[in-house]
Amino acid sequence: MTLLLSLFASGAVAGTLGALLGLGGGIFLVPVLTLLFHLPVRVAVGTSLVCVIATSAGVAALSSEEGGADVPLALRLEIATAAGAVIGGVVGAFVPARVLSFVFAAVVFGTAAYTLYKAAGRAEVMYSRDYTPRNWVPGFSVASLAGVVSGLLGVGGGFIKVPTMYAIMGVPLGVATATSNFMVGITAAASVFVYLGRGDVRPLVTVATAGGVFLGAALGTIVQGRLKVSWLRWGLVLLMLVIGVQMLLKGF
Amino acid sequence: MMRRVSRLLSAFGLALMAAGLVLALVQGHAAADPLRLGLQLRSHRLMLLGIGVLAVLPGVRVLVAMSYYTAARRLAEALVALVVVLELVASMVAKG
Repeated sequence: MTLLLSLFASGAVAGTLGALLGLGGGIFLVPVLTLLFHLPVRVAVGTSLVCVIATSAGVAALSSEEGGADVPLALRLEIATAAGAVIGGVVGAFVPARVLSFVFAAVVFGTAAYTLYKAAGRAEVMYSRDYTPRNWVPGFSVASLAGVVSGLLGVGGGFIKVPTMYAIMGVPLGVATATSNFMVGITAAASVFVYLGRGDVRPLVTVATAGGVFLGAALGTIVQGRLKVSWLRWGLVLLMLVIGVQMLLKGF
Repeated sequence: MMRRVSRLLSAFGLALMAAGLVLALVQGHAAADPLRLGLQLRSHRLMLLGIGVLAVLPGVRVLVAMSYYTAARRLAEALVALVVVLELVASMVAKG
């Protein structure tokens, strides 16, 4: 019972952070599930993929109609991302757990750098419909990479998608975050069936964690306009650095 | 419309998962190692069904978007949505 409550609490934290920052929460969940709960990496990845869908669903259920997401943009980018996610999910069965740990550590450090970049004086939330997405070729390329990473590591890829849309494609940050929330669920759905088919999604673990994620996503959506997101980002950077180091050590 | 669909399917999936979890708790299975429990338990089948409903929700949302764009005669967006749906279906077929 303590285990289930701990999983629920972890899911709640992941869901809250995910809803606030346009992430699916997997970047937090996979290391926590492997390091704290000692789940096999593939089970952690399968669980995380379901929870990423739960974050996206939770945000969608509670925000205003589509919550500011640019749905046409999301669907265009998802063509590349979903294809990458299927590839990542299939290839993941053949990648050794140690390699996954190293890759995850690299991605976590990259995420920490991305959140520092977002915290460095840029406008944190901007909602505007007065923009035209540009640089589609690099945007599509990076979206494919986000999909492969998603399938391999059990994350939604939001930490790649949000800076891609914001910094490369010229989409306002608030719109990029909301669009990413819409996209991460689709991306995770593209690879979750691969993990379901392999038996890497364990019901009790997943349900306990996903339940927490739903609650966290709901909380994150409600408080989104009231908290200074920069506070959360600095705390997240510290947490990511600790997790990245732990995953590196696990790989060795 | 998409928000309504999200709410309905999320609630349904959540209800199935919660029912399975409660059954597992009542039957005392939750105390055992959750990784070692077999999938033949009814509680686990209920939870898996709920997980399955959640897993198809993103695809359903894209289908709703496709219907909306088709009705609004925004055929380029409808085609894009169709491609995403086909990719999701392909992923269900490619079950590792």
